[in-house]
Amino acid sequence: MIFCTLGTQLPFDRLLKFVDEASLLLPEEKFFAQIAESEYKPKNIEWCNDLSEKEYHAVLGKSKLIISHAGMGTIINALDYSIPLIMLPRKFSLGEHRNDHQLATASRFGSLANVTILEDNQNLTELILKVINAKDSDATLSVENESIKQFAKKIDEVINP
Amino acid sequence: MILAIASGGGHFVQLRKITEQYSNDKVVYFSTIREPKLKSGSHYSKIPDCNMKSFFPIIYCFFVLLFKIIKLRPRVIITTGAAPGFLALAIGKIVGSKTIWVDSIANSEELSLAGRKAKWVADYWYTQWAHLAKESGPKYIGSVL
Repeated sequence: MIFCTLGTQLPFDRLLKFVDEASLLLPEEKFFAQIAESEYKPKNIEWCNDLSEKEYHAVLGKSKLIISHAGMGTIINALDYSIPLIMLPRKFSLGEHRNDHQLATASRFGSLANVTILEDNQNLTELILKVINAKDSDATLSVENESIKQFAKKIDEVINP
Repeated sequence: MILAIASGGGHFVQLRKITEQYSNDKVVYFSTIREPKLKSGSHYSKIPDCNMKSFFPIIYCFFVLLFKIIKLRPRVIITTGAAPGFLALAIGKIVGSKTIWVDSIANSEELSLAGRKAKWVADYWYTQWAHLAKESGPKYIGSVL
């Protein structure tokens, strides 16, 4: 399954339209979208407004590709599940978020092995084909559990000195 | 008792990463989502959402949190943001909790609005980016990635 997630709040019609249109050119792929508060309703793919966390993880377990906004929750979960991720950052200038931090997130995390940024002049369908046809070894990355453990330990030293 | 609070989505994903080391009887979770994926037996309470640019939702969220936190009397309140976490730390200062702000890793160029204001209510104020740390705070001690 190709899972399109736009987070849990705010509309993101621009990306949703791209995904809805791309699905027509990729009839052999099954798509599902969590559209949050988007005004646009997909015509060609299954969708819902908001998945519960349990449902969200069930969908992730079946996904071979995620297409999303540049949200940290999605990035971390994509790493946890080793699923390749195509991201389009929300832009403040288009009214898609309260500020431009997603552009910064995209530039910071776009270099991760399993993350690909959809640039303004790029065709989503071509990018989907490129990512899902890439060799698995290129598309996945294991999370550095050690750095999280170190961080959690330092936090614990503050909580329980 | 530790109160771990964050908005749904990425904030809550990060909060769980740094608090999954605690057993169910040590930590209570507050977030804005319906059914979080937590260790079985975790204590969880749903709270209303708000952001720093909305007036009435902030007031409503503040009073809901005030009621819940006075009842809970946590020794420590830790948050990864955003606005509800800020309010919880402010209340924590009133009821005498130790307050910890861990700014979201999504804020890689500057702290969020709530993150900047957290300076006034956080006993421990952290960014997850080394280049955003300053002598006067926030401090950098690591990140979830």
